[in-house]
Amino acid sequence: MLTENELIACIESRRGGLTRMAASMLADAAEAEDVVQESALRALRGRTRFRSEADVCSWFQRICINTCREVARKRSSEQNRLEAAHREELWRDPGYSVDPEAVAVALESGERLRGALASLTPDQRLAVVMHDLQGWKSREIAENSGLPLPTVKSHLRRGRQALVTLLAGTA
Amino acid sequence: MVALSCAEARDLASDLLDGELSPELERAVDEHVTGCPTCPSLYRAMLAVHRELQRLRQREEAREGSGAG
Repeated sequence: MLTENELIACIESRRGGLTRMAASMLADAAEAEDVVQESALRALRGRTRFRSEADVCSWFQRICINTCREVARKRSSEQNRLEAAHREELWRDPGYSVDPEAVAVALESGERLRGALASLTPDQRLAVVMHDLQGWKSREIAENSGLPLPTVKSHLRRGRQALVTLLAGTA
Repeated sequence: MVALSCAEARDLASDLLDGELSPELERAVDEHVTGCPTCPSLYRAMLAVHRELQRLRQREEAREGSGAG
């Protein structure tokens, strides 16, 4: 049986890293702290459901990622989804291209990159942030988010393509 | 040799960045990009974004390793 102290030790050891992950996902440091705190409360409330053969820190991490996805999905608008669909169409058009120099210049501004990340759909942002900024494997993202592996890979591809389009200013 | 459409090559380019393609598909992407008027610029831009994200990740890891934040 998982004790409260064991769980709290795990929460505290992961709090910093998970708060940074949530801040990248939500582009909001204060909300990231709230998400991790809410996840901690959920974990403490659900402590008795924890299966002893699982790793407790991975379990808490999974709760945190899913809380983050919930918050990101609630904030995501219909406009956001339409814009994402439009960007996907552009990438299917053989005539579509961008100026790589414009993208390189945009990348010099951290503000532009943060803005582009914030414009992705929540699942694209999850895939790009976890894979490219946090160094996770696609398989680990799938295991922790409950999404199928091919879906994670698809979100990663679309997310990377969308970043190019957004930074190039072509959509 | 597999002949790829632009949409296929652009999707596979993401997997190529992660080193997840078979040698055959890697050659197919290379071949497509070499002969395509639009895909090389997209690939260069995607590579630049990927490198910048990797740079940010390494910076963050170094910061964590030094005990900051």
